[in-house]
Amino acid sequence: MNARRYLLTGLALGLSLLTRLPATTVEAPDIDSLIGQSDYVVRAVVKSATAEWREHAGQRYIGTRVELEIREVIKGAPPSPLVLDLVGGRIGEDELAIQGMPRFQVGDENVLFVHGEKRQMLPLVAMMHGVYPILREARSGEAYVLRSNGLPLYSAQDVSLPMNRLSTVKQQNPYARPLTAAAFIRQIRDRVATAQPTTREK
Amino acid sequence: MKNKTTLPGIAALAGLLAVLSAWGFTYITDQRESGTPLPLKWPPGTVAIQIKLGSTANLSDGNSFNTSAQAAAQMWNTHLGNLQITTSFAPEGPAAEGNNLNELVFASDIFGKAFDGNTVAVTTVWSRSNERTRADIVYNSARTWDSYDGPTRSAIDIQRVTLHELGHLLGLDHPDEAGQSVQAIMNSRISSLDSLASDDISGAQNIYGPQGVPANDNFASAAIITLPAANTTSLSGFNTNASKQTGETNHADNAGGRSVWWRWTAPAAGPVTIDLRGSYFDTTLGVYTGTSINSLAAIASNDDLSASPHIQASSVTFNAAAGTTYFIAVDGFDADCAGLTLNFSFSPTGPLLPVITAQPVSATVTSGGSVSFSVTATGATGYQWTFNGGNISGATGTTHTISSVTAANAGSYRVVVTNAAGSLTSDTATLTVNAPPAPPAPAPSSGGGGGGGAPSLWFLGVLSLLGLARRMLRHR
Repeated sequence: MNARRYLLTGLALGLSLLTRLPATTVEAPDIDSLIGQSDYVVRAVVKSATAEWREHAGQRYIGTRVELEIREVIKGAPPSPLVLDLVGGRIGEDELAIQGMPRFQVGDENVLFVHGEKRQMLPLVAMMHGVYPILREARSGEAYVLRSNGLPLYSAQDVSLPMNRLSTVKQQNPYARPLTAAAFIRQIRDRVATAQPTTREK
Repeated sequence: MKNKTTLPGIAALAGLLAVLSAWGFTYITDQRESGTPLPLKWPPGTVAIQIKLGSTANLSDGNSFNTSAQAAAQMWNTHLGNLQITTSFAPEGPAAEGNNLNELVFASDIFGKAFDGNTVAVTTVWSRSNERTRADIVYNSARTWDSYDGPTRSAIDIQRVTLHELGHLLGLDHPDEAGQSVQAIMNSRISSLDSLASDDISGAQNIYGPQGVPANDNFASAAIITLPAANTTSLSGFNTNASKQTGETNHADNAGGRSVWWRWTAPAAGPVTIDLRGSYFDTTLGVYTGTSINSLAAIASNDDLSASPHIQASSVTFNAAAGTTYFIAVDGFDADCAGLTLNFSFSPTGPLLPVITAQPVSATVTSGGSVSFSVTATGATGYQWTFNGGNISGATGTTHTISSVTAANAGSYRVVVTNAAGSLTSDTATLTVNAPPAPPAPAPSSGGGGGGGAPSLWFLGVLSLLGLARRMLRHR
């Protein structure tokens, strides 16, 4: 029964992940660079995603406004609500896609590495490398972190690995458990604390 | 033991991804489809790109940015069947929306939005419905670019990036992002690979086909299916650049236009199932007996395996007779075409499928009336009627009756007949619903009004009588 539930959870998540479009030529930063380039790191749930026609310098295009409900601030002081302004989206039969731009669906929960500068093509650091979907295990409710290709993350250091490369943690220990969201966030917090001395320390 | 348990859910997910991406290549698909979305592709023909990267031939390999990118397009072209990328050069400048040109440019932003420092290049793709309509490739002008072969250097090789981005333009996605471990220019990271790998080529050819006409384009050159001992097989092929022969029937009631043929002789009696799951286009499928394209007897045909969720692969099941040769036609709905997979399964020892001896018949009724659809089948143990592809709740008998028809009942009705060997779907019966007759128009009143039409006989008669009376009075 439990196995069946796990399987269904996996299937459901797999199907939802298949709607993402990871692509484009992007250099994956390592975890410290990912944190360093981020103005905010948050755990957030997508509240809405609204596509609209826009115009820039006489050029008409589709953009999408993604409103996030922040569940946990990990770095920085993000505005509330936090809004991601993306190039691309779908309106009726027309779609503009920037290959590599993550797609957001209402209810998705992610750890996000966000640029505060709104003039970015995608306000996530390194496009698909700046989004880490959270999967909640049905039985225990424990939350785990995935890479944008839908496979589990085993260590924060794995963020810079090629997507098809097996985690070094997994290589050393085939029975290693995927990284929980809590552990991932804790590792980010530790690195933030190391990289940025607190006001008191200054 | 508990500590050693990896998460079955996540393992299942990884397994699922592996199964769905059995090949390394992956596609950017039509997200509008609820069932099995197909790759978003360009219509057959040419995609014209205008290269605006610079014409100075001062790069490491002697190329200019323009000629290096052009060479990348030519590398793709040598492997594509029904699409070619044509190139032209233009002075350096920004990409312009609304000019209907597919452009390759250097820029620091897209629609005023700056590149992320980690992003080397992006492809923007416009699509309408399920077809690609326009695309630009934008290279980050903040990076240092060159053109060279072999291991990567600090400057980025524009040719391998163009190969990669043209792959996106064609419809390919990153295999490594789909959990695959293959050597491919389409992987998400730049490597020492500087040319197309077999996985890249296979991916593109499953959308646009290889060059040339398929060997089994014509009925007379149908490829022979030879089954292994297990009596199941999966065959690969293409219907790109195939054609429809003079006198060829429509498969699954669709005109199609790009059919390819297989033939198989049954060594014994038994049910056969053929499906086209794993094909990369909207298929149709027909099975026939006979010796000439002009005089084939239809055995079974199908367009879509399922209407909801929409599965555009086709599937048929029929009872094969020992010694009979069956011809199998695979076509594209409205001449759609790409790579195909034909899955064939024969069960010589299993029970036979039910046989439909009387198909449901189309009907036309007036709104408010009643209608019944019936089927007669031998060997059937179950029935399920469908309306426009969806099951009708409780409609599980040999007859389906609608007692008070409304316009909403108009559509396609079929019945799925089952037994232990499998199921068989009937022909489609179409219900046409006419509006009830309009109430009779009110009779014209006898006094006044109207006008403008021809005078009635009654009016002419009155005038005649008046004229006659006047003449009689004068004569007095």
